[in-house]
Amino acid sequence: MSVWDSIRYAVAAVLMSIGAFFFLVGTLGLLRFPDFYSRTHGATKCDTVGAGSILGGLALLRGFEPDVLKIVAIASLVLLTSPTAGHALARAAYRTGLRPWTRRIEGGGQT
Amino acid sequence: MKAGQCAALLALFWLVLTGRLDLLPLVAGVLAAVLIAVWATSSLWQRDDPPVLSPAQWLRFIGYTVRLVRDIVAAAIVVAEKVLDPRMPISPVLIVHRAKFDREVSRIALANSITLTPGTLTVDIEGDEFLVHCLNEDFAADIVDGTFDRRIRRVFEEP
Repeated sequence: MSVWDSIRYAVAAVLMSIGAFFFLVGTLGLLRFPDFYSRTHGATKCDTVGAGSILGGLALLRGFEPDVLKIVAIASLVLLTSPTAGHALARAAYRTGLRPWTRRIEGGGQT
Repeated sequence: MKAGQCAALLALFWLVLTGRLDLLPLVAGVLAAVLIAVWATSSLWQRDDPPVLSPAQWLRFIGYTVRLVRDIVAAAIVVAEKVLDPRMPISPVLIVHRAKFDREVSRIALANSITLTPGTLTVDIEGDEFLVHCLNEDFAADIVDGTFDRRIRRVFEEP
């Protein structure tokens, strides 16, 4: 194994650990946040970062091969569909009249 | 032109998925790509503005994606801190943001970028009004001052 390969594997391992960490944080957010909307934040957002860095790590682990393009395709589809799903959930909740949890009430741009 | 770009994208996607350059799969893939592209541009996008970008717009879109990823990572770290903090210092707010765009694709891009960025979530869009749920008011700073709008206008609305 060359030096380049060791560096590549190390960086891939770090990226995947970061991804796992964000999945953990996302799950914790899902459990700890007070209402539906903030839980949607936890579920969709940390997933985006988690899946993104895990896929990045996998691509790096694979090296320069055509398979990497498939991983890039998966990543871009996740980045396109995950916010759409989150938005659909939040919109459905809002349209059925679920009010978001707030700590305070103030004027201005707030509804 | 619209059908051409759509077909090229689909054919590229097919190539990535099959991962080989044999004659028969290649011909079948290109044929399917052209058929789907023709169908999509003639009936699926008959009334809507199809999400077609010019080469300059593609280049700027890549730059935009890189900057967005940087913002996402920065925001994700802040959200992670808030989730892991025992006191959980969040104070969610709903804000209404007005953004006028000429193209449908710009509105989708703004809504998706907001939702992708940790801490902000597009709840509803009505006309030019974006209803955004923020975990904390500071997350909305880039949206409220129009940084997002300006970037998206530069990417999708300039030729």
